[in-house]
Amino acid sequence: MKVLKFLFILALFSIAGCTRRTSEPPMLTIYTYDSFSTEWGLEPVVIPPFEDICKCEVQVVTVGDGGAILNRLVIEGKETRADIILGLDNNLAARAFELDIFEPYKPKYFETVPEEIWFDPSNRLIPFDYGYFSVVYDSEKLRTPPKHFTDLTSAEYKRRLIVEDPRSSTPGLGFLLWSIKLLENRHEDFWQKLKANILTVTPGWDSAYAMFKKGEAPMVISYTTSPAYHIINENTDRYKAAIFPEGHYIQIEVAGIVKYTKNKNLAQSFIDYMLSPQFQKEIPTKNYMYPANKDVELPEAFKSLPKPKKMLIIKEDILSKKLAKWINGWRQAMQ
Amino acid sequence: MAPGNAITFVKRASVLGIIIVLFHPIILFVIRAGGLDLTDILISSAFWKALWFTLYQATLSLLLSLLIGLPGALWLSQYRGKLKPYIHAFLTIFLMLPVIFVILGFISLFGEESLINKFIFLISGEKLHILYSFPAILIAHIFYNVPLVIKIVSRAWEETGKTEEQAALLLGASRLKIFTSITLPKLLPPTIAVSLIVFAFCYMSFAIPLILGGSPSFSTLEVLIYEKARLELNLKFAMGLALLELLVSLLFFWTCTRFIHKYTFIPSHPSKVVARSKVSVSFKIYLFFISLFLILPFITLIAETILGLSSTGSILKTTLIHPLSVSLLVALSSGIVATSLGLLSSLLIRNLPEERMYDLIFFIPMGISSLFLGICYLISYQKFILHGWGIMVLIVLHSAINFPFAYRIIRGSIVKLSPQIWQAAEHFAPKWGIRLRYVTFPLLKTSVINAFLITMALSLGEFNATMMVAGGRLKTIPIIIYELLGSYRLESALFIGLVYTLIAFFIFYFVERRGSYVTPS
Repeated sequence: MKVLKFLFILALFSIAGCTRRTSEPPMLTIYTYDSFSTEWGLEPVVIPPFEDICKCEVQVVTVGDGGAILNRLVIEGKETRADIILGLDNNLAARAFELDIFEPYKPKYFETVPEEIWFDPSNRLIPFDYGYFSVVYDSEKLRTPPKHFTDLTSAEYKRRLIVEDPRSSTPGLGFLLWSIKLLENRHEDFWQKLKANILTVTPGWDSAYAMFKKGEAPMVISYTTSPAYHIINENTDRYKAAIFPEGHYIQIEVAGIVKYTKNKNLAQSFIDYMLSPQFQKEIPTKNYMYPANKDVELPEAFKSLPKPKKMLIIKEDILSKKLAKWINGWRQAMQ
Repeated sequence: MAPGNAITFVKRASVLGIIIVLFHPIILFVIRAGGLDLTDILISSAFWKALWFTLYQATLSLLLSLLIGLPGALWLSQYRGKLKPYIHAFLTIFLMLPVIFVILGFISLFGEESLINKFIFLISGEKLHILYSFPAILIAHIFYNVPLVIKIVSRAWEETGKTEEQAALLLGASRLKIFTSITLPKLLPPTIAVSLIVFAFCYMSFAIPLILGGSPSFSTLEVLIYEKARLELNLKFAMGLALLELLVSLLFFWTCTRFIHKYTFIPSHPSKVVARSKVSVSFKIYLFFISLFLILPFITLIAETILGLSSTGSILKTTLIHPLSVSLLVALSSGIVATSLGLLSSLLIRNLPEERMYDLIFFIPMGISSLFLGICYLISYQKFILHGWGIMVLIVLHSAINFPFAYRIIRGSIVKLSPQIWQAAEHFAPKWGIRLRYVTFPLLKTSVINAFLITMALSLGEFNATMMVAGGRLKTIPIIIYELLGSYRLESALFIGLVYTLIAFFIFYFVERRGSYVTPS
């Protein structure tokens, strides 16, 4: 029976092997997160123009979110078909570097990217956009928004904040790291006090924001740029981001060239294109983040948003060493 | 080889074929990952804590769902009114509801800003915190699973007559004695069958405990698997966790099936329930409250969706058609495949010496983390997906995920049938095909249709594993809903979800109606 089983599996694999077709125009494969290729995401506006420029075919493979992309790369290893990985961020960078699969490249438009967001000096991961985590609040329900980070523990906000789980959500992790960067050793005390103000912890940003939008709580962990969505699409400035003078933790989204790529030139030209104004100008209204290229003019809704004066970041090598410990501490503080 | 042996061999080979076709990605994944070291996990306190909580909430949710659902099942099995197909179609809806909708429905019903809470605030000056507590988790699990209990068990009970009870009554047995020694053992196999399914659902649940529990101390094993796999990229640890998760659920399964075989009473011949007991006042009150509980979250959610309609905009026209056809195609095909294979394999294994072992094997996919199921299929079929065969992979994946449910439901019916029926059938209709057409199918019709509806509904709502395979143009409605929610578009997501549920309701209703028209000769 065992022999039979293996023969069957073998047969399946050979079928899989035979169906591989040879493509005439060169093909660039991009692994990215889901929201990139939605109808209202970046893909429909940035990929077809690039295909015209490069005279190539671009295959976009969506793989859940940033964390899922990394999982996929761990599983595939050297056999990965990806030429470009798009959609990791500074918090995933350390794990990404451990995999050692990125090829350094210093792209065109390099000088247009603010120095402080170019966090990888060896140019393996190239920023394409960034945003600041923040507490977004409903100004019709919350008269006195918090003015400082530690105000969040104030008794007046009892059961009024929705947070995401740092184990499964990017903003959730961002908020935890924000507290660690600002409060260092005292962050567990902060969480213990914050607990009474947290209505609930959701696995992802989507459910947190849906609950916030339904009015279940007047505060949610999101981005300083979230209000722009409501200004542009719903014509309301009801939802606002609380800006703290101590600074805001940053998320920098990056892309990189996979070193096993057989289309190196094509991959490099895609990275160049990614930082070009044509691609970058779409970022505010598609990703609701700030474009990495500072020369791109922002839409009116973005110009009206307050931008944090100070950005906070934890270096990825420290992050990778301490993350498990921090998560454990968080879990205990939240018990 | 003796002819008997040859038949047994063919049967075994066919069952093995089914196992390999549906589940080889799981086998391959385990081989590929190599040996697993479980010691790290077994010494981790986070594991034991999560395991305990997972088991605790799943067992409690199961017991409560049975307690609340079984009387309803008894009623529905005797109900012969016009509303029956509507009720059954409505009960099927729950299997495909996205978690976030159930949560939002609960929020509009019991949340901080709900009418109930506003009213309570008016009279007492305090808000009632129903949600974000341990009971809220149980309420949500009951909401999800009571319809399933009612649906599956009532269908099975319809096929059970009262002949034995009447005979016992004539012979002078007490009512209690009749209930414990005849009725209960007769009703047990479908109850156990549904218990296994409900337990598996609650055991794998993670968003509901986390969100409605309101605290990460209500994290199930699934959350821990996500943490290890996604955050720490420790796939080995995560796989080990998934393996232990599976072993524990198998233990539960084993206990349950031992119970079945010990206490099951098989009536000598099936008959339809004719006698209809009168519905008492207290039972009417129960029916009223259970209907209210199941219907109200829909009403509040529908109301709010309609209120938010103005901002859904133009997104619907273009977005809906393609994923809707993908969803329907995949659900119909995988429903047919899963149900046929479920029927086929439960017939094939009947009377094989290792019959009960297959029960265990076919339970395995129900106990595996859906995150891993998706990954397994992704790895095995990646090339197919990249070459545009994604929809086929999705159909196979959904069939594999839902096959165990179809198998359990149909098998529950087969176990219940007396061996004499099969012997008689074999005697009078030696040809396999004729037997299938005139004996097997009519006897199992109800459970086959039930299995088809349930697998179809599960496929319509499947999300976790689908997300691994879907992408590009290959998207189902649950994926679209997730994407809309992930990009601030709550109102559109709600609207699409509502339309989708309505379409599904009419499909279920249609199948129910057709199903009850085809009367076996």
